[in-house]
Amino acid sequence: MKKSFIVVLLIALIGLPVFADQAVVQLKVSVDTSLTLTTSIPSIATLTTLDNNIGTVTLASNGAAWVLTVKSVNGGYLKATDSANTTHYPYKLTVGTVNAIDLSDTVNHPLYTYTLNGTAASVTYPVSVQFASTPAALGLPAGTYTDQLYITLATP
Amino acid sequence: MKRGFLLSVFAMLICLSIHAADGTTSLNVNALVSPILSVAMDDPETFNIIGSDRRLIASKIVGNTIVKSSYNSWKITIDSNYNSSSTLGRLKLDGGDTYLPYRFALMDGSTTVVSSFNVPSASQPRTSMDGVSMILYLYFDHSDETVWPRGVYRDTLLLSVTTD
Repeated sequence: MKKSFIVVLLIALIGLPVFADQAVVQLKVSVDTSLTLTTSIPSIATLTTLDNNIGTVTLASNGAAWVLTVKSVNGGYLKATDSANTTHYPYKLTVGTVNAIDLSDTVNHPLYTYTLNGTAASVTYPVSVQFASTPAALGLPAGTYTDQLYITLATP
Repeated sequence: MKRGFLLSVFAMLICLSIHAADGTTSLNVNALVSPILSVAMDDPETFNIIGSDRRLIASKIVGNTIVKSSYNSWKITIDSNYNSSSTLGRLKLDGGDTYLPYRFALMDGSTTVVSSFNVPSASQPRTSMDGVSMILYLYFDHSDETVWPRGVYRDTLLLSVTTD
């Protein structure tokens, strides 16, 4: 009886795979901050009325806080392309629900820059340009008046 | 008579010694060679899985798995903490419930040794003293358009080697 038991036990042991070794590996990957800015605003937006919807900007963030800036090159005015014409055509911006942004107001907008901080994962802001008066009402000489806006999305 | 007896005894001794010289002696030499079967892999460095095109990278070499075996036949098995199927692993976002899927392959040259979780590889042959070095690849879905939350994602792999 005892002999039989030993034989059976040996067979059982032979039938089992021999465990040998193990290694534990920690996988650790990172997803870095990702901010994207897309816009439907054309490279040249022609302004023909007092209130001009020029397009939208869409921001996307993967969880990082962000800061949107809109900076005017011409000090917050439309300047005549004719260098002999030194008059300015004042305007105001609307970005999203924020109205009457006057980039020429350096007290509220240093460096002619509007700044908006946020954390939303994805948001779209309509952008429009408003004039208080027509050029004729302001007595502006005929010609083309322009400004350049740089719209930037970055981390704070 | 006495001299003849001595000669006979001498002759007998010679015969015995010759007989002894022709005899066979067996010597058993027993040496114990300890079996070797080991697996090792260093923890890989943290790496960013978002490429310059803002999508998941397609693949990444994670590191080398080294197996040393004096056994003629051995198998390797890889298991994962968070895998959702036999072929799909997941990396969990620290402090969140977000899981980022991946596939893997353990390659010996151009041969895939194992690419499914918890499924033993085919039997592998005895290795050299230095062992066999296999490359562990992770694969991500480059076509995926998910905006993955920023942060660190982790998984733990358990590599096991067994004999047949």
